[in-house]
Amino acid sequence: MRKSITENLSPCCEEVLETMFFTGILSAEAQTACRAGGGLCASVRFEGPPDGELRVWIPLQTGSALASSFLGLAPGEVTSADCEQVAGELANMFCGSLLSRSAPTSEFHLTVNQDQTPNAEPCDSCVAFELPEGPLNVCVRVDRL
Amino acid sequence: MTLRVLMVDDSPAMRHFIRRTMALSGIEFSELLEASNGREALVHLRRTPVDIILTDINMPAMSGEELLREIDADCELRHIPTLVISTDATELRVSRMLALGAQGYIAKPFTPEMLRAEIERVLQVCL
Repeated sequence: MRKSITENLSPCCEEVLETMFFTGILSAEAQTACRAGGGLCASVRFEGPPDGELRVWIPLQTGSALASSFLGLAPGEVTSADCEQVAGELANMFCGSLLSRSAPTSEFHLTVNQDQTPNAEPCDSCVAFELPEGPLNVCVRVDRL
Repeated sequence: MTLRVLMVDDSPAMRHFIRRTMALSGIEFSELLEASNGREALVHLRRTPVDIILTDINMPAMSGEELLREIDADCELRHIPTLVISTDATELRVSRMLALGAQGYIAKPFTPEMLRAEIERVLQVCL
């Protein structure tokens, strides 16, 4: 299942971005370590099994552009609260889509957290996406299969 | 046909998105009530009649599962069609929500066309 999660991460993210955020992926590069920094960070804790965490990091500018697309608001109308909520939704949809595809017969519970803490723990899969709006990093850690 | 809709989701951003998606899909609604959990939804439902309920599952105070149980136990509310909108598309979750009384289920991500088609199927109308 760990392999399935790694393989499905990029396609799931792409589907969510295209369908709900009306954007696409210019490039996707697998990373050996999380590339988190300042900006918006949202994480989703999942408990099934599998148990683990998916974390999304986006620079503020990218987050604002994605929030604008998601909410259908002009860039100047998007608030910082909108950006944080949309980052949480993004992580939630990535995670739900990933688990539904990778573990369709499992049952899991998701808890969304919005925080600014870079992921200190090693991940099983990290992908750095480049979108028209800017960079987006997604990491998944599986604690228990 | 214009609809009275109750939308139940703890995320204001998702409620905004669904409102926008319904408009993009061409669904006309006379009233679109919002609740951030099942408990708030029940307060709305006991005051205002609606044609359909769109609900998330994972919410604080009262989840979508508990909301479906409450609706099913209330003969005044039991007839209202309920459509679940969730990121969780696992087989067990979908079958349990349908067994609890949901008439439809949409997994995120979804398009405006998918939302419209599922609402039409649940209501058995062409909007």
